[in-house]
Formats: sequence, C-alpha cells, structure tokens
Amino acid sequence: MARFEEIAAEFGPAIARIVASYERNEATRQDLTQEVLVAIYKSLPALRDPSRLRPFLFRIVHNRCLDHVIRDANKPKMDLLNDALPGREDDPHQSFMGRERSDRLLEAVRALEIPYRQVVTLLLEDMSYAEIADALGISISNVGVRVNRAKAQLKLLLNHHERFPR
Amino acid sequence: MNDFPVELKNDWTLQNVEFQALTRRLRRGDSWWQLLLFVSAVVALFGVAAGVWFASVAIREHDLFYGLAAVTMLTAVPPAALAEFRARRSALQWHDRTPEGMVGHALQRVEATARLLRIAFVNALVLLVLAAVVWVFVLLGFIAQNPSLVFITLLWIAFGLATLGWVRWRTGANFRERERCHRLLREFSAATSAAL
Repeated sequence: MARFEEIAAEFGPAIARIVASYERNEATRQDLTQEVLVAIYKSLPALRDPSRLRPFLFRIVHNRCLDHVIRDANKPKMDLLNDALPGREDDPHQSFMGRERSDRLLEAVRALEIPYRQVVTLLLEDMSYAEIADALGISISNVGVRVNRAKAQLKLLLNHHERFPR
Repeated sequence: MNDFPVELKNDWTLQNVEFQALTRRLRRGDSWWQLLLFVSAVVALFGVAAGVWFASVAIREHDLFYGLAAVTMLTAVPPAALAEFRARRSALQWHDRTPEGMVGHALQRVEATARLLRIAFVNALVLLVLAAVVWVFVLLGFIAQNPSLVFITLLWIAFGLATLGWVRWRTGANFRERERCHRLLREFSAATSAAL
C-alpha cells in the first residue's frame, strides 16, 4: 500500500487532468478519479516491469475513463456547465490569462475524438511516443499519425495557429 | 520527451486537483465494492438455500405450493447469480487491454447484460405465472387457502412487475451502450487505419 500511496502522490495530478478530459461535472469527476485509483490499486500487483510504470498507469486511467464514457451513454445530460479543474493557487505567477488558456485547452481536448484525445493527453503529460504506444497498445508510427491529426484538430479548436510551430 | 508545443504543456499543467481528499476516500470506496460483491454472493446463496428448503418441505409434506416455490427459486436464482458474478468479475482487468480492446470488452459486457435481462424477463414472467397458477390451484382445491398465501402471491406479483419495469428501462440503456461501443470502435478503427 505504501507503494500505491507514493504513486498516487506522484501521478495524482496527472491522473486527475486526464480524468477531466473525459468528464466535465466536478462531482462525477471526483468519483471517476476515485474509481481510477481503485483500478490502479487492484492492478498494481500485475506490474512486472517497474520501468513500464507510466504506460501501465496511464493505460489503466484511459481504460477506466473509456468505460465511464460507454456507461455514461445511459445517463441524461444535465451537466452542461463546465466545471474546470481549479488552478494552482500556490503559483504566484499564474495570471487570469493563463487560467483562461488552460480552460480553453481542456475544452479543446474534450472536443477531440477519443483516439486523438488519448494521445494528446499523454503528450501533454510529457510521455514519449514509445511510452504512448505502450500505453495505448498501438505502433509508434500510429502514435505519430494520431498526433499529427490531433494537432490539426486542436489548431482549429483553439484558433491559435501561432502556438503550433511547423 | 516529445515535440508537442511546450506552451500547451504548460497550460495543461496549470490545472490542479484536491487530490488528498480523493486518496482518503479510496479505502472506503474499495471496502464498499467488496461489500457489494459479498452481499450479492450472500443473496445468491440465500436464494438457493431457500429453494432447497422449499423443495424439502414440499417433498416431506406433499405440498404443491412449496414445490412451485422451490422450482421458481432454483430456476431463477442460479442463472441470475452466475450472470451477475461474471459481469462483476470481468470488470477487474483494467491493465490488460488496449483501449480498443476495452471497447470490445465493453461490447461483450453489453451482450452479457442482454442475456441477464432476458433471464430477468423470464424470471419475472415465471413469478407472475406462478402467482396465477397458485390461485388456480387454490380455486380447484389442490392448495389450501390461508392468509399468508395472499401476502406471498402479492409479493411475487409486485416483484415480477417491478422486474419487468426494470428490464424495460435497462434494455433501453443497454441499447445506448451498444450504440456507443460501435461508435467508439469506428473511431478507433479510423484512427488506426489512418496509419496504414
């Protein structure tokens, strides 16, 4: 359990950010994050190679969230309000503009189809193409293709072409 | 680590979370899940035990009413309990599938749920038919009328009707889940075939 708590402390914010890309409603998001943690807790004994920890964890996060998306098809859509994650209050340099950009990015990521959303969220968590390929069970070349397509879609969604150097 | 725009990465990590509260809830949530699994096992065992007891009373006292109740319990509970156990067990392997495989697995779960719903539908009909048969036998004089019979058969009718209502609602939900799975599979297929 100590190992799990270390993992939760280190990867918790990243896990919550990925969960937020799947779920808008804050209360549902907290429940889903908890379910993701339960899934990780139950799956950890199956991790044979510690060097694969990040792909292992993020595969679980995406799988659990994907399952949520499938089950969520049953529920009426009443949570149209966007409950973005709170900003980092401990960061004195965080500006209103930065916060707004963060929210817009999250909305844009949510608008992507899931195969593209998955690669983008993992890229944003600074994973390499090889790690993403491992996490999603696809080839590195497929990661590249999905990244290019996702970038094109994000360009349109964010309307900030200058943020994507060619 | 990758060539994604650094500015976007910075915007992304500006999000923060109240993570401590979630870790505190983790153990409680895990215990709750284990409790649900335990309760469903106890309910299944209780149903089978009740069915066996009804059967023994029916044989010992040559009572048709208990015989019908035993047949109902023993035909209704084991298939439903087995289907529920399979559905719960299949939700544990989160690390072992790709996202696309995950959707395929969800589709299997949808089909398993459809089987469970068919079983529940048949069980509800069995209860309603049984209630009718019991009263036909009472009218024909094969079963002695007593006050508890009214209560028990009304309970069966209420449970049967409630189950039919639940089956109808859940069938619609299951249909929407199946549609969502097929849509996701199309999206994954398109994203994968783009690389070929």
